[in-house]
Amino acid sequence: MTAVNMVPLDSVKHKDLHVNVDQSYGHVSKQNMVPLLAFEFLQASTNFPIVFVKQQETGKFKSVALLGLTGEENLIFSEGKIHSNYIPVNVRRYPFAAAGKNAQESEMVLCIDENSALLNKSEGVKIFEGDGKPSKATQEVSDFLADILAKDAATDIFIEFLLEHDLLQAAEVKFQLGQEDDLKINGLYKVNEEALNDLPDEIVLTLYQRQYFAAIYSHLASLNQFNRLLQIKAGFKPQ
Amino acid sequence: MRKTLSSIGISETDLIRHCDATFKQGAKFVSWRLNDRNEFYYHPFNVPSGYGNFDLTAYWQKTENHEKYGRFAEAVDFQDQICEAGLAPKKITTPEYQSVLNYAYHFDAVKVANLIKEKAISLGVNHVIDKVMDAQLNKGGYIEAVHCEKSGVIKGDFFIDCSGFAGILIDKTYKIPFISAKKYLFNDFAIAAQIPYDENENIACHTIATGQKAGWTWDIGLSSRKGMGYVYSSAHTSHEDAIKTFAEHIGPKAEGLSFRNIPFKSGYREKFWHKNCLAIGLSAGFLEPLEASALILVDNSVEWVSERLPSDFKRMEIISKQFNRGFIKKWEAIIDFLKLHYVFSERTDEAYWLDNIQKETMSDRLQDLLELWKYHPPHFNDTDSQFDVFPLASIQYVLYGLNFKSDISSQSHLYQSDMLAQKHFQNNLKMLEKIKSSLPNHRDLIESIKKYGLQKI
Repeated sequence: MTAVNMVPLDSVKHKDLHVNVDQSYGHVSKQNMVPLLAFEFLQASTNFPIVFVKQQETGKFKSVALLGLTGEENLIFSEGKIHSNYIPVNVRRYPFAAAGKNAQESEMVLCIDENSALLNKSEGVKIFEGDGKPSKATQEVSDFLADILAKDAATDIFIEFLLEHDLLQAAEVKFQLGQEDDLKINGLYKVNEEALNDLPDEIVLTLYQRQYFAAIYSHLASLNQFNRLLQIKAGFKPQ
Repeated sequence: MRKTLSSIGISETDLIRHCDATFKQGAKFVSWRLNDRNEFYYHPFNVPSGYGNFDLTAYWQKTENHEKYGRFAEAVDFQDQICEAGLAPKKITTPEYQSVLNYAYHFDAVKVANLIKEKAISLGVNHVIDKVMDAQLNKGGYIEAVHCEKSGVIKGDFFIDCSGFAGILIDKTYKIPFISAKKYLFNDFAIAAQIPYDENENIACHTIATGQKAGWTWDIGLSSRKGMGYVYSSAHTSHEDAIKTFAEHIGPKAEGLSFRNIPFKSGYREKFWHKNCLAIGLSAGFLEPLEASALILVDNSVEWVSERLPSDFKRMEIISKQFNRGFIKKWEAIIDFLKLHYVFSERTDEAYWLDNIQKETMSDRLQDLLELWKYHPPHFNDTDSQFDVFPLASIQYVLYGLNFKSDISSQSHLYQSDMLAQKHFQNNLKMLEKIKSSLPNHRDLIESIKKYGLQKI
């Protein structure tokens, strides 16, 4: 697999490019997690576990959809099949991405993975019109990404809130897979239910006002989907 | 230190951000055994593999093993190599105060004091800055109050003397005698300097102590600068020569710096806790800063007081006796441990190093232990775990770092577990391989912590 190479979209350099649509989202088939935003938790929660992990570069927490049990395994999007009734926005947006989230850059920069197999010069949707203006589809993607950026920032604030009130704890995840040794997944975090139940009234009110309860309980409910991953894995034959 | 800071409730991220703090994984001793800058050994903070269950030292002594696995520290643990590679003891994803490899800190002491002060004030401590002029004693000799220059009389039940070398209460008021350690530890002067980094220079993740003509130099990497110093014996060098030695050690960056030779007295008080006064820090005593024992003693003293703050004066007397007994043992053991760094030096061209290996400059306890170790590798029974600031592992690292060999030929039947020893040595190499690729460079981690902070969980 070629490495992702996100570059700002350029009306000269990329003027002839078309984007094919891959309904099976093959680009994530070697990834066992993708970022998941707080507003998605409710819909996603019946499909796969939603957990919190630390980013390797910064140590900052992010919420993710756990799609596989080992490093490069994706049980949800694989072999052209989708074992989910919900597609995370961070899967749907591909091969596009948004950059320029920091305060100095008010304008969002639309980027594209130049190495994506979905890009070509004839098939699919045009990125630019003949006059160099973004196509209608590109404009829609741009609006979609701006919305994702805002919701990503809101998710960070949600996670900060959880940390500030000591509501996250390490999740112990261990499975017995057939005759093999126990499979232990490290580095996953979840909401501490006990701490949640012990919160003072005024914090509970804040949680309610910010509409965090849906996200929290969806996340907790989604932890049952580890069993679903195991079931898919049992019938799963890697290529 | 980690435990203390964390229990006070100071965030490790704040320590790194506000106190120029960096991680310390041990000390590297250069040119102590031989007068050669390429000769060194490590005293890392990780304990040897098998520590407490299986003693590897006798196996490391076997020629085939030390030829194959190298220096003692690198054969029995991987921290030596992590330090050599300039790597940090943890990752940005490792929670505050947790470690991949054991560590302490280098930091700017003034800034740490300020951080602790602010924390204390936020917890309700009334902080008064003033000069204590004298103390007022009651009939039983207990301090009732101190008289301050600006604030007048401050009454109290318990007084901690943190007045440094001045020892305003322990020395001026109570005249508690000072026990000199000079016959064991010769150094009596120090010169210090702050040296800027080169651009992109990595930060050493260990203290570097380099043996010099009449003492040793320290080299400590903070995040903003390096702290360097020369501790020397004025009986073995002139002050001018000491400055010359130090400037040579610093190199081109010494140009334009002016140095001051600061005298100090090695030793400690006959008592630290007298009546209702406890001396902590330099007022309790001072030893050359070879193994950061001063910091450990402060830490231990504070821990003791916080756990056993007496309910009344009757109890205080009993607790103070316990404290004094315990801390005298600690000081004696530290002196022996510091002395241990010198006693196997093979530097034969300088009086300082030759004088240091003379038996009469060692305590009776140390002489006994050295006699014992000639034929028996150090054992837990040789230390007093309740009082020894430096555990058996530290003794092993220094002793075998200096290439000491115990003659175990008459007891070789005790050391037949070669397979198990190989497993430890091999496992250590495997761990090194695994850990080395996952740890960040030390400076990179410090920069990341400044930027992103460490997580609490």
